[in-house]
Amino acid sequence: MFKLVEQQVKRIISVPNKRLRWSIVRNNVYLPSVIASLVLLGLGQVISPGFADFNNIGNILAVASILAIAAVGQTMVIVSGGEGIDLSVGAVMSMGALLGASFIHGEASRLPIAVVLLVLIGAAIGYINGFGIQWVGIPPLVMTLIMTSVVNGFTVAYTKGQPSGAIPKVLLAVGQPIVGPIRWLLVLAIAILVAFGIIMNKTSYGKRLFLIGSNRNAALLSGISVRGTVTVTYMISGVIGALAGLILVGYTGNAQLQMASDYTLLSIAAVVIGGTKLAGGEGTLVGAALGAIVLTMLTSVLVAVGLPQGVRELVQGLTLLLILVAYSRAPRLRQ
Amino acid sequence: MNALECRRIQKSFGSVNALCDASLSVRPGEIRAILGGNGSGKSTLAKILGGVVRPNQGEIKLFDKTCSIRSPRHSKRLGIVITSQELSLFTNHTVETNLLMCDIPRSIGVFTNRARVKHVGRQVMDELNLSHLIGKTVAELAANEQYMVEFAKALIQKPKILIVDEITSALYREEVELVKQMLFRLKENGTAVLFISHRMAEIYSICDSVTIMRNGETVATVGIQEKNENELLSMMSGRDVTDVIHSHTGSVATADGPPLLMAPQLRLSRFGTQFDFRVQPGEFVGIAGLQGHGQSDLVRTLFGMRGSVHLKLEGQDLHVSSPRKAVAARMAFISGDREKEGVFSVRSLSENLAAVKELVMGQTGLAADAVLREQGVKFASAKQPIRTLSGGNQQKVVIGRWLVTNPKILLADDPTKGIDVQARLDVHHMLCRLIEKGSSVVFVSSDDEELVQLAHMAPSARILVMYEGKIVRVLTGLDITTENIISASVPRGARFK
Repeated sequence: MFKLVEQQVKRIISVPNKRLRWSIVRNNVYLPSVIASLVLLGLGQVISPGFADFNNIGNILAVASILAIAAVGQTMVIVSGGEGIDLSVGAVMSMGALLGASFIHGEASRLPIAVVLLVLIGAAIGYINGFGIQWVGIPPLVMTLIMTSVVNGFTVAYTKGQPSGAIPKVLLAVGQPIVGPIRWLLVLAIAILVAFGIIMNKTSYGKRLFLIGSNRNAALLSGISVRGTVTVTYMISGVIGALAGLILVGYTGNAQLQMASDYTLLSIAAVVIGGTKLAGGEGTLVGAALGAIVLTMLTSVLVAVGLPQGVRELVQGLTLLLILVAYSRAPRLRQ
Repeated sequence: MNALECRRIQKSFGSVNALCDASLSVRPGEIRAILGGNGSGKSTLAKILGGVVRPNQGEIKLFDKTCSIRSPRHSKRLGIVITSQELSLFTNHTVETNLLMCDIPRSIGVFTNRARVKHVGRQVMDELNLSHLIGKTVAELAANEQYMVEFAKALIQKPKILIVDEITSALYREEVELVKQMLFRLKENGTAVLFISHRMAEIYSICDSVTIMRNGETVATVGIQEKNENELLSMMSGRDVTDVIHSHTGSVATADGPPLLMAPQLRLSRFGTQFDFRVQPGEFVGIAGLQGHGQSDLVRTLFGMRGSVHLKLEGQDLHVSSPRKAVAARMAFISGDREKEGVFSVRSLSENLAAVKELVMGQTGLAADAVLREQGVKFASAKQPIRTLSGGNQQKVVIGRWLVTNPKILLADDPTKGIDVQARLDVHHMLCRLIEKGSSVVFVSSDDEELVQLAHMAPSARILVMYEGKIVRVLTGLDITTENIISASVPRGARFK
């Protein structure tokens, strides 16, 4: 992250014209989140010395990694446009956590089969979302909200609400440090971000996704398969959500009902903070990851301040509202 | 005293002059026809009087009092009522509620007085022989009945000035007769009527006088008996329309050999009409007519946007059920509505250019910079977002998107709408180069002059003139002139449904 900041700052300073320099600062989608996380880091250190040490930064990055992974699917769904949004992410993650733990049942050797099953279930959920939205014509907001309760119900029915035995060491390793503040989780998140960055920017599917998000009618008239591409996108979101749930279990060490329901709102907020327009057609995974870091920092600072939980949630909610207001204004002004 | 007087009304939308000098005055009890081609400013004038748009300049006087019409509500209060082709009805409500929508009778000030609504509604509908429609919702009615309800709704408002905007084109002969009687009764009561229509027979039987509009100007106002049809048409087009041949319908191929594309019994669902359509290889087919007579439907149906259609392309049977299938058969479609159907505005030039070739046909290796330069697009970098270009340059990129796929046939739905003259010429040259390579072009335009120019640039060309979803005239060779297009667009004689 520091390297990224350094690059950006160097690039901006190298511009000779003062006004041009300012316009680059204003138009840079990453800059607000980079500045925000640095400010929050400084603030945390002032409030509670030790906030900026390696261990705590490692903690923050680990938590942010899980959110960043969840936000990958959300980014792609939002980029697909047509009011695309996936409100089922939280429920799918909770399901991934509980079902994953129950599939593994304490035996490391069953991890691969659990992953395969979760991929299939996540894809099925995403397919149902895509089908409802693209073929039946249900608005994404409504469709994925309904899926939330379907998936929650399915999870409770399958696990009967029982916790599911010990989590194997292999999975717990995701939370272990490698060197300094870097933990396996961070490596995993970066790998996933790079992989899906390539899918979005280099493959024909990804290029179609951006065009569909920019203008559905034009995409249809160009002969691009809109329904298929959008449905695949919801499937990807489902798969990533289910696997993110499994990773969450590895980090927390236990699985609980609805443990990830906050991730729906957080993933959307991370995507928006990262500069992705809710109107679709534009957006980056790097932005979403930076957004995830900002949000995690914010929570950590609020904890460090020592606010009671209710007040903390209130402040967090209001901050999200402010951020969404600030970021949603731009496209409307442009029209 | 004049009921309505407009003096030097001027209105522009951006750089487009919709009205540049419109003046007319109508006496109480006069029925005035407004006659003009596409883009002559008829509907802008109606919108200004209806308070929908406000003029940039000019003076409007109602009964010798200067007014500025601020809103549709204000216009109604001044006694101006418009019945328009785009119905102002609420389809989920009953006929009588719709009739009284502008002034619903109340009991105790808050509740709808249903008995009174029914009573007043029935009175009007009785006069129009339509009392059997009372109690039905508008959605249940046939199109012609809906237009009659629209007309009745206007009558109930007791207009001082009534504007009838092409309402009669959807009506049967007997209904037109009823409309005529009602208009005559209004006339006796001193209402001034502006009658916008392009059916000569109606204009001659209903109106007292006619104002001719061309390019946003009112060019002349004459008594209806002073001029014959040819003279009116000449004034509309600004040139002599002398002896117009009124002969064959159907297709005449000027290029020989087997057709490139055949559409036997092509059905336009919106009009319920059917006809054979064919295109020869390397041919330019222009589709002309007044706006909204099925030109756009024709090309969109061919491209699979109106459900499955059976075509024969180079002798091979083909069922095109979606644009995707049409693209697979090497057809191309350019829309005149860039914003909605053309550009991917937040994406780059190269992405816009490669949308079909790379992402649908799977051919990579498009040299975006070279193609953009060749199409004469003014740009700095192929990576810049397309929305940073001017409208004309955007459209060149969209056309370039299809040209790089070497389509067999290109369908264009008024692609030069709203772009500047130079860009328009560039587009014409792009299309001509495509035709030279052996492709065919089917080109819809609301600008008759443009069709004539293009037809003369292409080695073989036909112009089809459409009216109410049918091809009413095929022009070939030296017959391709704007005068002939205009005279065929405005059918003469009694041609009721």
